[in-house]
Amino acid sequence: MDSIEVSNLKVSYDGKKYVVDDLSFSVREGEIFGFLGPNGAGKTTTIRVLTTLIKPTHGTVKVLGMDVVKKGMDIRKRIGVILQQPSYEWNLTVENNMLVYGTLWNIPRREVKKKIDELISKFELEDIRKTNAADISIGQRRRLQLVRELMHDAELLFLDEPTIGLDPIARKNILTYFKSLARNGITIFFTTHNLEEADFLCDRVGIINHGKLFAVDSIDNLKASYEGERTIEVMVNRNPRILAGKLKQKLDHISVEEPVTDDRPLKIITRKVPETMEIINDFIKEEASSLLWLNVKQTELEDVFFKVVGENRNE
Amino acid sequence: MNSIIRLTYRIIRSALDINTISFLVLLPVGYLLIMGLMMGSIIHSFSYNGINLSYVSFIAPGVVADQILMGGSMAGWVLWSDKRTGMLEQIFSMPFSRFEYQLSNLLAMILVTFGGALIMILVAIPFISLRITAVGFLFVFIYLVLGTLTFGSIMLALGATVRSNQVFNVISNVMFFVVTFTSSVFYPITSQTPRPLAMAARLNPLTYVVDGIRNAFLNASSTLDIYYVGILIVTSTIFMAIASYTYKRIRLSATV
Repeated sequence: MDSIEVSNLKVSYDGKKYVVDDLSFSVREGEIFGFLGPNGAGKTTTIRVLTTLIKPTHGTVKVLGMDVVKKGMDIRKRIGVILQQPSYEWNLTVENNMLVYGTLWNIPRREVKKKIDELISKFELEDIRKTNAADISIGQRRRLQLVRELMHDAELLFLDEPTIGLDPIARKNILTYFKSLARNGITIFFTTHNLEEADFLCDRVGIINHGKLFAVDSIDNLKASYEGERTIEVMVNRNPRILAGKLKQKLDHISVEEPVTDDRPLKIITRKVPETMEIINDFIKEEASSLLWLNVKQTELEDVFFKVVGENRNE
Repeated sequence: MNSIIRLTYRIIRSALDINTISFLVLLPVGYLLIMGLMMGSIIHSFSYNGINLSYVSFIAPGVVADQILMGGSMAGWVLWSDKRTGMLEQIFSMPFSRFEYQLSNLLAMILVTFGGALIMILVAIPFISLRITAVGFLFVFIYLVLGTLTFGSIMLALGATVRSNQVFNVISNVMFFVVTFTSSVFYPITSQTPRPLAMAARLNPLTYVVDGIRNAFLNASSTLDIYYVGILIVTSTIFMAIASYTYKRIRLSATV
């Protein structure tokens, strides 16, 4: 059974431009589904429709078998949501934040207290248990926001870039916990910029850009679809953008991700490694440039992401 | 537990810290004792509705009624703060409707107003002549509820509309000042009151709340109270409708 079914979803805030444009996908029960895309791609808007915070402009969306427009309240009873925006009761302690949150979810007082002890110990919040949320760090507040959502038993969790601001240990800890939740049958819809996290956590991913969905598949299948392709990372000391232009001009079916700054490598995804090397070599001679660094590797999720996003940048 | 009770509990729990409680109690106590007793040294006693009163007995009902403004400004503050701290969006992603949130906010403020009013009455008792009856208590209850709904709704509309903390504070402080001083909290509205001020007082819902509570305190409630209650039902209905309208238009943070 599918926990989420999205069909031809379109969302417009101003009635003119669609920030989410004709999305169709489904998420299976017990699956961890990653929703990947650059800033402004439409991830958060999609999550807002799925969590019934906003209504779709067009299309149908079902969550746990219920229509998001007609059954918003029933859906919200069964889901957990960690929004991208930080949220906390600024003048309550960490413990009381959790207590109030548990009460909002109508969890009996004794059970709430037990759950607080369990979560505080599991996620190492003991040191800040009695500290006001206003006085803890941004990362600690994020941890509180995450842990608070685990107070109640949701069937489906929506996590909108949940690990922003977390230190690596806390991140690993929380991702491992999410993985264990999925093993117990909870479905997770997860948006992130961090492709390493998606690779670690997700069963399948969807890649979205400019409101459109360009790929939905398992990570292994996505990587396999680029079988035979290699990612070449190259750094030259002069004019990397001219090199990028030459590569695009001379070779078909090539993806070139230009560096944001000159101290970052040029990323090329291609099946034609020898030809690419030849062009790089010619460029170095013609431009009297030097090769600073070169690396050829198997294509990874990050490369697939850059290729999909890069190919569809102007659509 | 009912959704509205849970939300009300959350608002009271998160909004009432020690600083807020101190402000809610100390300011009106200051008005009552400092202003009431100090002004009492120059205004010995005067006749109000045929009853001879000390100045502190005169302003005590006004200070009790002023709790409405305190509760009301908190309603707006809670909404504004929930927008700022992301709690509003989080609550709307939980099984609560916007209407339940609005209602619980007003309910929480009614409770805060009652708490404050009770403290003011207890503080005032040694200094004033209180002749309240059971029916008088009923009137006080009705006036406090209708007043909180009126001013709480005004502040909710403000909290829903305003984005910046500074603007919210400036508007609510100016409103607090204007509403208090153009009502009958500190002086009676009589034929000798300057005409513009008398006109402003008649347009100010707080005047009806204060006069009504004052009548109840002095056991002087009359058919005029039905007129006061009627006006307050109208004002609370209008402002609750305005609050609902502005509140429905709140756009949650606009990240794509």
